[in-house]
Amino acid sequence: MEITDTQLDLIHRYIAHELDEQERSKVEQLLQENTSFAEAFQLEKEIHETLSNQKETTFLDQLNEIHLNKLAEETINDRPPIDDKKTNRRFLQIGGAIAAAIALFILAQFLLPNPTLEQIQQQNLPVAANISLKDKSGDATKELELVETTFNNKDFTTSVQLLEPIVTSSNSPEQQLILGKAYFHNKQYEKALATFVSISKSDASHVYRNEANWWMALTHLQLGNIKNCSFMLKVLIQHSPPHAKKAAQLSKQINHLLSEKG
Amino acid sequence: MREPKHPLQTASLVEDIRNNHKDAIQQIYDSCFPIVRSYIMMKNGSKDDAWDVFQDAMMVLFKKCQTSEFKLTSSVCTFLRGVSHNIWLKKRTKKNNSTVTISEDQELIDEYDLQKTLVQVEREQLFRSKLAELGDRCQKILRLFFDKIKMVEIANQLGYASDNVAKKAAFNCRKKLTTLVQNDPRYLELSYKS
Repeated sequence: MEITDTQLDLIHRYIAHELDEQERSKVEQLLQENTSFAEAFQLEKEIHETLSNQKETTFLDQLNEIHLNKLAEETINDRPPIDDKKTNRRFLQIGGAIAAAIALFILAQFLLPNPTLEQIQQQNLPVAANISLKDKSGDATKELELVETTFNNKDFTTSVQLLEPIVTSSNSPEQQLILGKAYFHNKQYEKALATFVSISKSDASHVYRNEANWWMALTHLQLGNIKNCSFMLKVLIQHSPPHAKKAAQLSKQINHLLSEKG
Repeated sequence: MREPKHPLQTASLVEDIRNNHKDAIQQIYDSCFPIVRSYIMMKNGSKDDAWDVFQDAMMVLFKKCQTSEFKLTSSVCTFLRGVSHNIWLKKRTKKNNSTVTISEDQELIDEYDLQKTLVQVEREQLFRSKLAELGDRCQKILRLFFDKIKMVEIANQLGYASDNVAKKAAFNCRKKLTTLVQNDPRYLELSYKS
């Protein structure tokens, strides 16, 4: 037998120590008499204890950060050194081979041309998706309503003007993220990058930080910072399942640019 | 597989883990993760598998360190390798739906009464993964809620009209989370074993 919403609310408030004496007795009585209620109580309590265990969350976050740093180190070390003196000397010694390789390379370029940076930038310029700043009841402050309207009408200049003062005072990662996107769509990439970096370094939840990391990768791409873009993509592939697939696709696209640039 | 030069076996290490000292976590990661990774890869696991297993093993260690009676009788890497072995066997058994040969490491696992802790770690992991499956808005409100942020502040941060509206939204999100947990096949399996 399923429990009612009222009973579930009672459980939540009992766990949060929000009940008065009478209500607590009612819960304790239900725990004795109603098996479904008792099972639901145990599960809710366990979920609550797990997700509000700051010590464990901190431990996991620290462990993940250590692993992330290690991966970042490995990414940098894995990159093949290009154009160093040793390589040049060796290439000179095998002049014939290099000439053939260049010929083959040019032929390959002709037959299967790699996309240029500009083409990749163009392909990965996201269309601005509509945003919603309303809560579930459909409410939003007038300013936020206006931001939503201007953003969804693709009037990013006005969105930025409206959002900048709101973000300064509210410190909400959600609003910061929208401001970053508004900068991005308005082609103010440096400001967009600073905004995404700020979210990524903040103590906002990993949902915001991963989303900011994805937009940081896109912004680096538009700025032509291929190495930084590649680094962010690697981080996303490893640590953000919702972004992993598209990050891997973009990473594949820019790999040849990295090997060309070194 | 070689152990690190300096066995990590001190009481102060347990204390450092208990208190979330990052240096201690880093030291264990540097010394023990390569051992666990080699071991898992030797058993045909991938690098990602190795990281998953190591994370779980570290959670077991962390939980053990929270109890006053816990003492490391071997080096921390030996402990983690033993736990990882057990986790990997469990994962493989589930995947292949077949029985596996229990090696000498099983003795070590029994010694630390790890099965119960492992189930707990897996249950907690299930709750965290289900939270990550919720919609963006629900995740945000619940993360703030479980971070013990006051409803008024949550309403302010997420742009809800009032704390009551935020409270109602949080209730609905918690209900969704519970449903997701209950509908996951792992939940029944873990409930049965626990």
